[in-house]
Amino acid sequence: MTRTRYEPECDDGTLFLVAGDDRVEIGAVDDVVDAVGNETFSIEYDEKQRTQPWLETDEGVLDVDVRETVTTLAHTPETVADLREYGMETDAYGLPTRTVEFANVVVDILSRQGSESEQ
Amino acid sequence: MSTDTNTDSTRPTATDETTEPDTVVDDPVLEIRDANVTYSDGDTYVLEDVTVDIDRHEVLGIVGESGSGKSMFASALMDAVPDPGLLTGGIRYHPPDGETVDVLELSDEELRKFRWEQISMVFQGAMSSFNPTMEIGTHFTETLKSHDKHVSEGMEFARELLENLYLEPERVLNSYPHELSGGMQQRALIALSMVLDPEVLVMDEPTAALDLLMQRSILGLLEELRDEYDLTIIFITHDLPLVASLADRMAIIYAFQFAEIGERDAIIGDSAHPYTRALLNATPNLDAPLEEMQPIEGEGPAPVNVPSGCRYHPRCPLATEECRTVDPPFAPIDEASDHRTACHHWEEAREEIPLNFGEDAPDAASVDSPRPAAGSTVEDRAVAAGDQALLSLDDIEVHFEEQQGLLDRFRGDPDVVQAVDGIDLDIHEQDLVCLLGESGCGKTTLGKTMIGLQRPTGGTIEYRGHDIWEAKDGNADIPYDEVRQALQIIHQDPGSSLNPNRRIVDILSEPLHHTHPNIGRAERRSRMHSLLERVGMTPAGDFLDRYPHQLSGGEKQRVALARALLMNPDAILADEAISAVDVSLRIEIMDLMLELQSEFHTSFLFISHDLSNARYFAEHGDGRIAVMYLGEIVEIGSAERLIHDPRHPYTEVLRWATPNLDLDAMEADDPPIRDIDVPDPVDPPSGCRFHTRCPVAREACTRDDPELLDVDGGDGKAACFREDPDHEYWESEPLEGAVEHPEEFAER
Ligand code: SF4
Ligand code: SF4
Repeated sequence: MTRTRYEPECDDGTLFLVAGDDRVEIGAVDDVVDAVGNETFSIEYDEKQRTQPWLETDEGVLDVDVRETVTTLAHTPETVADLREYGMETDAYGLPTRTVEFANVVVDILSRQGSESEQ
Repeated sequence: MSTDTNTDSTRPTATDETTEPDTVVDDPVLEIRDANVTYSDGDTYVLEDVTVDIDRHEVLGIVGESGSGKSMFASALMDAVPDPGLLTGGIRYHPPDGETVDVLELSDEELRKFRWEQISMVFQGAMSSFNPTMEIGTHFTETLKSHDKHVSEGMEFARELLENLYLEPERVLNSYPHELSGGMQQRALIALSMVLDPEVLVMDEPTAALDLLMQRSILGLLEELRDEYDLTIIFITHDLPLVASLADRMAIIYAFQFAEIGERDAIIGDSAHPYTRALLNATPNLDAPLEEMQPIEGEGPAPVNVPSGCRYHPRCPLATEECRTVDPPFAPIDEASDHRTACHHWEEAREEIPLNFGEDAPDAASVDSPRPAAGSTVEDRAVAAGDQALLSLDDIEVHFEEQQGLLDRFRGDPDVVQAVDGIDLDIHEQDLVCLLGESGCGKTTLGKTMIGLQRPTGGTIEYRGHDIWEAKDGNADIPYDEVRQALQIIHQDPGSSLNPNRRIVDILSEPLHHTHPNIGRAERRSRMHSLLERVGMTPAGDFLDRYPHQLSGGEKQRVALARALLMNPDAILADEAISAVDVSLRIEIMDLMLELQSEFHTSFLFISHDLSNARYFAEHGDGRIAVMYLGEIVEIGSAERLIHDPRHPYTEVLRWATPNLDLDAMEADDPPIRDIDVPDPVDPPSGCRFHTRCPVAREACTRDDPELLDVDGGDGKAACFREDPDHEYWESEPLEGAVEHPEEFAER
């Protein structure tokens, strides 16, 4: 059983999540990166965690390229349905609400791993 | 067998006995000799003089409280002690064929290969060691590649492992870590740790973050893996009864040393060390008479403060002058057995510290003696007296849609998305109700709704006859502030609810300002003082000026309780409030809550996934247990009835998952369910929501949702068609994998 996912698509600097002919606009990739706060998101693993064979890191720090992650990480229909509820009008910080919420989703996914994880 | 002594230990070895290997282990896969882990230039020991053999293909259960050194032992086995710790002694590994490996002599590259290929580990915190941007499948391929293994053969093995762990291989391999539930992530980690086909699997509190049912299910799977792949398993935990169901041998660690080791049955039924016996007696379980459960006074020492002589002496009721000065050797209790213990007076311990369960139990019959059938619970008495309910829930429904769900879910509380459906429940004055269920069942959502922290999307909730949410909107003749003050909450992790930047005195002043705005500073301080002493924090003066981080977990929980009580509440919601507390302290904190309940005339709502804790509360407080499944109450009643006469098949499952110290009933059997995983709460099954897992589900169960009906011949209610002798259920066909009678399921 494979589940449908929404794949990211980049069109002229704007990010969409796409499944079949459903296409949801997320916002400018630059805005997503701004909302995440940085081009890279660093996850620090503790000494035990960094012995995991699948983690090849320097000093236990995995630098995730935010731009690459948001343009390659697929999302579930539930995530997309929730994002759809947010509009593309701008919020107090001058970024579209949906873009900011999407950034929150990505940050939450990333911050579940590592020694300071929120799990 | 080797008896090599270590030469680089910074400390003279103790007596000869401590370096004697076990007599019964004849094919050791690992020999550990005088292992020590020190910090601060050898001044502080976090593991001391550990000498033990691990038998090939055994399951060794190692039990210790937090901070006892048990995780350090796990790290030592893989020579992975965190910097700047220094590991000395000898660790020799004997592969099934080939030469013995001296683990502490391996080069970095040899060690990298040795780990995971020979000994692998699922450790605490492994669930956050994934790479969030890689699918699970990539974790497998990366693991195989980094150890120069054939990837497609390895992936075939990975699929087999996942299937043996009751996962759908393709689905899991194609998922990102965050897309899997905790139970699935944990099983994926077990498969990852086994994909290089190691000889030894070390599990360090691998299931602590999971529900009991999932923990027990995973233990059953481990047993199967051991048999199938000839594994040796070292399972380290704070949860004695959990590992008892799986272990061949058990060891108890206290204050950085082994206190006792022996065959499982000897440790449970005939333990020799006073600490082991106390730990057994402190363990909430379903077999012990309630009156006999006892906490262990005090806490284990910090590494810088290890007592002289026997390190357990400050807490030991049998301590003598000898104990205070002479460190007891870790010695066999008799020639012929491999039962070893570190106690001068183990014979007295067996006589003078009776066990409160099994054959030793003083009066096992009292466990089964039925409580008075009528008027036994607070609810029965209140209903009989016609009293108005304190809180009244009528057809409560909480459906999350849109914004709320998703982001909260990512913050890690799966209960938050879960809808609650059609709940009717009355809570009375000084009542006690435990909401029991797996994560995702909606118990936290329901609890929060009960105390007005969550607005229901349907139905009403009344406080003393006033609609809470009307009051909030200013439409009721009761000030909302009064409602807020009357209903308080204590969180699972007290640390996160106490402001780290404020001293205890400031944290406790806040509610007092609210309830007693006109009292002076001196009076405020004296009230806080006496309450802190009342919750067991003495001398209170020492604690008032501390910050939360200077308190232990148990102390934080007491502060949270004191803060809630200072509001003079009518009801307190305790959300898994004792699951973070060490076993030896649990009974003490539960007793405290129960005493305070009657002293302060409050009602308590407990949320738990552990039936034995729920039983302790409900039976002591004449309360009820409400079993929840996917947003509904499926059974409710007294603890006595639920444990001895469960009517809903799901209650039966929870009963199965509950720790048990009865040696005859201990063998890890399969859970009485058809599917280990809970269905997606966002899209619950049709008809009876339990039908996808229920061992006795039939065709009719897929159509209608059973209502909660009075139980025939017992207190409380249950929602299962089997309670109705005339239901069409009885005429319909069992679903795939289901059986006609519950007993057949166990015999399959
Ligand atoms: S040696 Fe003495 S203090 Fe230590 S456990 Fe035995 S009796 Fe208690
Ligand atoms: S109604 Fe059917 S599926 Fe539900 S618990 Fe009863 S037997 Fe099982």
